[in-house]
Formats: sequence, structure tokens, C-alpha cells
Amino acid sequence: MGPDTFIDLIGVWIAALLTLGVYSSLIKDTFISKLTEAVFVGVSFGMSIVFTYYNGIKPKIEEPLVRYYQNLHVDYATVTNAVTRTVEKIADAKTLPVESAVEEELTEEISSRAFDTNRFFAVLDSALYKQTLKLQSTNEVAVSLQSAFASSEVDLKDKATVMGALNEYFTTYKTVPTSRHFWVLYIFFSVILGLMFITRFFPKHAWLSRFPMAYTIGIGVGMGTPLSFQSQIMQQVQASFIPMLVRNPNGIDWIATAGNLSLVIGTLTVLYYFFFSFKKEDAASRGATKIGIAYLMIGFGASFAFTIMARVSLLIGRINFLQDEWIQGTYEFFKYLN
Amino acid sequence: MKLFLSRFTSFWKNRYRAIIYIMTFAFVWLALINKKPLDLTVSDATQGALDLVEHMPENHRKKIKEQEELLAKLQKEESVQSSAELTAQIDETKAYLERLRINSNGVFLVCIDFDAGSDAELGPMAYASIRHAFSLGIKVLINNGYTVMAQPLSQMIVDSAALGGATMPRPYGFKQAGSDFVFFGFRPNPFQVYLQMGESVLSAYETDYSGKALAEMPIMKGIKDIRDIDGIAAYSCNVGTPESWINVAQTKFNIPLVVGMTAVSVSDYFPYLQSGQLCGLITGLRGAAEYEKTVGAPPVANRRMWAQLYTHAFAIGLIVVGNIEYFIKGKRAA
Amino acid sequence: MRNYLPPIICGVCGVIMMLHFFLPENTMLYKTMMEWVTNSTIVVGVFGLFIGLASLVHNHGNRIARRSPGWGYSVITLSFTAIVALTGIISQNVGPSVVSKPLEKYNYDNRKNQDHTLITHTLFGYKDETYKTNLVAAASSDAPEMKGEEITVRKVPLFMFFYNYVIMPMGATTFSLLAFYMITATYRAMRAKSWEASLLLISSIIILIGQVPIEEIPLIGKWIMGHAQLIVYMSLILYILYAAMKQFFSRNFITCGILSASAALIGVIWYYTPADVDFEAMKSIILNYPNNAAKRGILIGVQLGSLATSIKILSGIEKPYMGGRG
Repeated sequence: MGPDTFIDLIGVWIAALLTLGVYSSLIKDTFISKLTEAVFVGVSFGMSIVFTYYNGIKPKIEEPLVRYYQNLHVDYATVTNAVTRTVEKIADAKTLPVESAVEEELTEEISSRAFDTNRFFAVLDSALYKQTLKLQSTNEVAVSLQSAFASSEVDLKDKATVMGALNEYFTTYKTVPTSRHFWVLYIFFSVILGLMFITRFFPKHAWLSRFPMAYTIGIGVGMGTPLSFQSQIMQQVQASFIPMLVRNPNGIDWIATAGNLSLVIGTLTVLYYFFFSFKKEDAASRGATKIGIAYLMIGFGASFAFTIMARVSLLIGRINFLQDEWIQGTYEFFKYLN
Repeated sequence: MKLFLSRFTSFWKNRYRAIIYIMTFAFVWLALINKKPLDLTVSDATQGALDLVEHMPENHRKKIKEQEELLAKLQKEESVQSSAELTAQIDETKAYLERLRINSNGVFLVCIDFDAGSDAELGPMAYASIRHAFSLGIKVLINNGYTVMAQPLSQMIVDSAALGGATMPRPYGFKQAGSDFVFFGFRPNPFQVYLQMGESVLSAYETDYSGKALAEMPIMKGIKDIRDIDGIAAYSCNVGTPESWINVAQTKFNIPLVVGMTAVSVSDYFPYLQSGQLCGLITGLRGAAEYEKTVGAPPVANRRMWAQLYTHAFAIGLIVVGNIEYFIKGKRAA
Repeated sequence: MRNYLPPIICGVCGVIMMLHFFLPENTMLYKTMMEWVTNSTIVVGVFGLFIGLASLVHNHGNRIARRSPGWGYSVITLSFTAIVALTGIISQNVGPSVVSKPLEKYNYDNRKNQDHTLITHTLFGYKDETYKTNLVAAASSDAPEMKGEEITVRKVPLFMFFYNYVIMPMGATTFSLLAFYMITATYRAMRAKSWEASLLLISSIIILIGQVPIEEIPLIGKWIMGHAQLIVYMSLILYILYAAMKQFFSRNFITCGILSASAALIGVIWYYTPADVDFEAMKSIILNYPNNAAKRGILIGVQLGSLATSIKILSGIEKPYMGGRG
């Protein structure tokens, strides 16, 4: 658990001192606590820049644009070569591991399915000239084509048919297909949208930032609404239709019966409480509201208890670190040092 | 006596915060010295999570049997009267059966979506869950959710679990990446990625976290889309990931789903448990400790429950003291 | 154009995304659309980071330029941002190749049966050498089992050093500060001032006790666990009778009567409660029934509200994106 080498030990001590520095802010806002806060803000922002670069900028902007530019100058013969070698390799690849004669039969039957040329062309076209392909590197061609064919339903086991279709593909498309321009267009579209976002800082042109926001919000709302409606409204309402009388082998299960009744009444009264659009002046409305409030208070009490538990768990984790890795780890490090 | 009480009262009024902070720290520190694991009863919510993994190989074999029976039935129909639709259905069933037989003990997807801030609660439960799956011979897929910095942490958890479980009740040896498990890594916009998994896992994640092609991995030959996954566990510190999984995996594809959350938001997920949208719900540190105890994983969370116990007792003591103080003040005011 | 085009874009994009659920999944149109949407939203989101970065640099830069109080901390913040960002982006293997060897005569016997990864790392650079973690085992086909042998050195980038020893501990510690504030809030705020507050108090106490094995506390733990029903029901009855008495002395006889009847009802429920219902069972009952009801009501209410808001956004009634002058 503790540090194994000297540099580890330094790291653990840095972590422990920073931890104690943060805890010093409980006593007073001292120089140490402000220093540790400043370090934390700086390092975590730097981290988020790096993670965003590797997960957002590099795979979605930088690499596709660089490859598009490289692919513009690629010799057509290189393309044919790379693709032919890859498709041959996939077609020559061993079949799936079989466990019995039954599976062998199944594999043979599957491989005798009719070869769909149009589908083959569509998959090849899409895989070849999407932004992810680096045509000068055979490995990357292989990766992209392998995933494209594995996730499609095009069967490549009959090598002769496949190579024939590939020749036909290159005969039909005498030059590198123009569909790659389509893929790079959307990168430019996205980058322009993103740049419009930054105009927020320039008051005169800030109105341009409305477009990317409208686009993002529209997509988010459109994606999320149907599924949340189904899972969070429909299925939850459906789950409220529960039996009011629960039986067990010994007769009536009173706890479950009372619980189910309480669940239905509670759900209805809480929903009723949240209707603020009309006045609730009569006794029945006020009574229902009070019952709703009672249920809400019990729910909030449960949340409060769990929140205490969660926050204390984090404290426990840190003190565990201080005990095991810092104090005990340092002791063991020097104990075993000869 | 009166002088002592008034001095004590004014001292407490001025210093109660510092006293409470010091006592909390002391309670946790002293409790953690105790290394004996606690004996905890397993709640229904955690039992659901345990049952999903425990019965996964059995359920997977049932699926294989069902598909074999369906195939036999379709082939019998075809021998009577064949049609293009029937042939296509037979082909699909055969392909599905082939995939089921490759990962014969089932496939379990674990979504690790927490960073250092929630590692104390969620780390032990993710670790125990992966070890549980490994000890049953289940193949494990690991991905991340909305938390950007979950990737290095999940890498450490997976590496540790895959080294071997000699101390588990059902011990397992070394697990190889690519054949026993795959770590996909973080991808931005996880909701769209999960939706894309419904069509093809390979197109959603072309490579694993280190850039190796997924299509070459033996485990992926048995996984085409999300329907080939037997169960999903989402361990998350933010509410977006479990909701995405409920919307995508459960509502759209009806895959059994288990959620492990920090205790802060776990009480909001009980409606999903009651409605059957979740099979199990692991409730923070207590749930992690129950899980560890049942599967025999190293008792990390279980040891921490001692500190939880003493802190809770301290909190209850403070509530009682505060209320006594309130009633006495109220009486005096009256 | 500045005013009417954004709502149109929002509405059209939203409706198209809603309709995409009705498209068959294996068509090129569906695949193309999903890819377009996924990648373009990622790219637009990336530019959001630039806004955050510009904002950070602007605020801290102003503080440094004006020499405001605490400008030194701004220097530290900006320098660490730059160091971490540069070491991460320029290269994963930045720095001189200084190697820190493991300690000689290190006793590994202790660690043979422990289930954790033995990783050693240095400050700069990264070089694959033999080591017993799965990362290398994945690359080689004959991965040896861990036998407690001496491990060789693996170097880890400076970037990962920052992650392991600065980000992880400090992130966790910042969150753990809340534990202290929560405990103080428990003392200050959890008072039975009204019947609603009392319900909150009772429910949180039952769950606090039910979540931990209270019988492990020396001297009083077993007694508390064994007399759970006595503690809970008696406290309830006494509290209600106290409230009834207050009403009686305020001459609210009807309210006093209702409260007394409630106390009697609770006594009857106590009589019929099975003997095996302890704090853990009470906790489960509270979580599965009243808490469930409350949370379900809140969930449905919130989702109905967000559905209404979504329709308002898509139809252009609400325009949260219409910021910016001009």
C-alpha cells in the first residue's frame, strides 16, 4: 500500500502535506490553506486542459484535418495497395474458435451467405474516407477497416468474391473518392460553430454565440426528452400501480399492505403539493398538502442521513490515506531500508 | 456550580466548532486503528446487485439453451415451408448463438464513473464487483461515463483486480487484457456512445484505452452490440451516468442494470429499484462493505465502517445534545 | 436574422433528434447523423474549455497586473496550470531520464499475499521494462504469475505524478471538508422546532442508526439494538403527548384530543409490530415506502417540469441561448 521507492515517498509526503494544508483552512484561512487552494486550482485546470486535448481536440479536430491534408497528396497506388493488403489479411484470418462439430457446421453455413456487393462498397467507402484513416500507415488502415467490417454484416470469408469486388471498387472509383470532403466539411462546420462560441468575449459580436448554443441546446433537448419521458415518467407512474392488499402464505402481510398504501398516497399527495398553479384554500386541499409535506420531510430526513454518511466516508478515506500510506508507509519504507 | 456552568456554556458557545472538528477527526482516526472486519447483514438492494453477477453464468447458459430451442423450431418450420424471412431469421439466430458460445460464462459491463473525490466509497465497490465477476469466470468490459478524470483511476482498479485473487473464496489467477477483460477508456459525450453501443460496440469504441484495435481481441468476437451484454453495473458519483444507463440500457434494450452511488444521491434511486428498472442498488460505503463481505474481497470498505459507526454515534449524540439545549432555552424563554 | 434564426435552429435540431428514435438503426442515414451529432457536439464543447481558460487567465491576470491583495496566489495558479498543461500536451515522456531504482534488500515477502499492484515510478520519463502488471502482460502472450519476485523499475510521466499525488489527494480532501461542516450542521440545525422538523429528525436518526451495526458500540450498543422499538415508539409517544399537553394548556382541546388519539394509535401499532423489527428493518421500511413516495413524487414532478421546459425551448417560447448584446 505504501511507497516503494524514494520518489514515491516524496509524492506521498507532498500529498499528505497538501491534505493537512487543506484541513488547516478549517481552523483559519492561513497562508498554507490559500497556497494549497491555488495549487489545486492550477493543477486541476491544467489537467482538464490535457484531458480535453487528448479526448476532444486531438482525435476530433487535429488528427482528421492533418490526415485530410496528407490524404490529398497520397498516391492512388498507395491507397489501393494498403486496402488490398488489409482486405486480404481479413479474408485470410482464422475463423472463430469452434468448440464442437455443431459450431463448425454453423460457421460453414454462415460463410455461405450471399455476398452483398453494395454493402461492401458502402462500408469500404465510409471506412476509407472518414476522418479516422491515415492512408500512409497500413496499421491504421487495418484498424479502421477491421472495425468497419466487424461491425457490419458483410462477410469476407469467400476470398475470391471479396477480391473481385475490391477490384470492381477501384475500377469504378478511378481516383480517390470525393466522399472524404463530406467528412472533413463537418469538422470545419463544428470548428466554425465553436469559434462562434468564443465571440462571447467581444460585446459587439457576442450575438454570434447564440447559434452554437442554440444548436447544442436543441440537440441535447431532442436527445434526452423522449427517453427520460419514458423512463422517468411513464415507468415510474406504471410502478405506482401496486396491489393495495398484499397476501403471504400466513394471510395478510400488513407491513407490505400498509407500505403500498402509504406509497400510493404519498406519491399522490407529494405531486399535489407541487401544483402551485391554483390556490388550496379548502380543508381537503390543505390536509392533502400537509400529508405531502410530511412525506417530503421523511424523504429529506433520509437524504440528510445519507449525506452525512457520504461526507464522512470521504473523510474516512483521507484519514485512511494519512494512517496507512503516509505514517505506516513511511515507517515501513525506512524499516526495510538497509 | 452555577459559575462553572456559565463558564462552560460561554466556552462551548465560542469554541464548539473547533471542539466538534477535533472530536470528529479523533473518532475517525481512532476507529480506523481497528482492523477487524464487521459482520453486516446484507440489505435487499445490495442482494439484488450480488444476485445479478452470481447468477450471470447460469442465466447465460439458459439463454444459450433458449436460442438452441428456437433454432431447432425455426429449422423445423423451414423444412415444412421455407421463405426468405425465415432464412434470414435462422441466420440471425445462428450468428447470435455463435456469439453466446464464445463468452460462455456471460459478459458484464462495469461503468466506472468517479474521480478521487468519491473513490473512498465507490472504489471498493467497483473493485469487489470486478473481482466477483472474475472469480466466476465472467468476461468483464470496463468503460467510463461523464467524469473526465475517471480513466487513470479505473485503470488502477482494473490492473489490481486482474493481477489475481488468491485470497478470495473462489480464487482466480491472472486475467489477460483482450481475452478476459477489455478497458475501453473515456470517450466524450457518453450518452451518444451508449446509444451507439446499441448498434455496435466496435463502432462506439474502435480501440481500447491504449489504442489497440478491439476487432482483434478474442473477447470482442462474442460481442456485437449491447444485447450481447448480460448485465451492466454503473458506479457513479454524478447523476447523469445512471440516468443515461437507465434510459439507454434498461428502457431501450432491457438489459439488467445495477447502480452503485455515493450515499448523497442514492436515496433518489429507490423509486427505480421499486419499479424494477434497477436490479440492485449499492448504497455508498455500507453497500460496498456488504458486497465485500459477501464475495470475500479484501475488506477495505468494511474496515472503514468502524469509523462510520463511531461518527454516526457522535452525530446522534450531538443531535440529542442540541435538542436538549433547544428545549431548555425554550423553557427559559417561556 | 440574429433574433429569429437561433430559435429556428434550436427547434429544427431538437425535432430531428427526437425523430431519430424512429429511424432504423442500421441505415447509413442514422449512422451518419449520429456521428455528425456526436462529433460536432464534442468539438463545440471543446471550445467551451477555451472560454473557461480565457476567463481564468483574465481574472488572475487582472489581479497580478493590479497587484491586488493575494496576487501571489494567482501567479502560483497560472504557473501550475501552464506547467501541467505543457507537460501533458507536449509529450507524455517529458524530462531527463532519471531512474530511481527500487531499494535493495527490500523485503517483498510481506507483500506476496496482498492484493495490490506493485508499481514503482520515477519523476521523469517513461520506459517499458518487465513488470508484473497487466498492462505489459497484455502485450506479451506468456505473462508470468506474480510470485513475489523482485520487480524492476517502471517510469511514469511527470503528468501522472501530478495526478497521483496532487489531484487525487486534494480532490478527495476538498470534498471531505464537508464532513466537518455536516457534523456541525447536525448540532446546529437539527432541532425539533416544528412537527415537520421533528419528522425530518426522526427519519434521519432511524436511518443513521440503521445504516451502521450499532451493536458493536461497547456497553450500550447491544441494549440500543435490542430495544429499538422501545426507543422509537416511546420517543414518538412522549413527544406527541408533550405537544398535546402544550395544546391543552393553550386551551386548544380539539387539537389536544387529536394528538392524544394519535399517541394512542401509535401505541396500538407498537403492540402489533413484530418483535424482529429493529433499526435496520425500520430503515428499510422508511426507505422503501415513505422515502420512495417522496422521491417518486419529486422525480415525476421534476420530469414533467423539464418536459414542459423542453417543449417551451423547442417551440421558441423560452430562449436560454439568447445571450450577448447585438
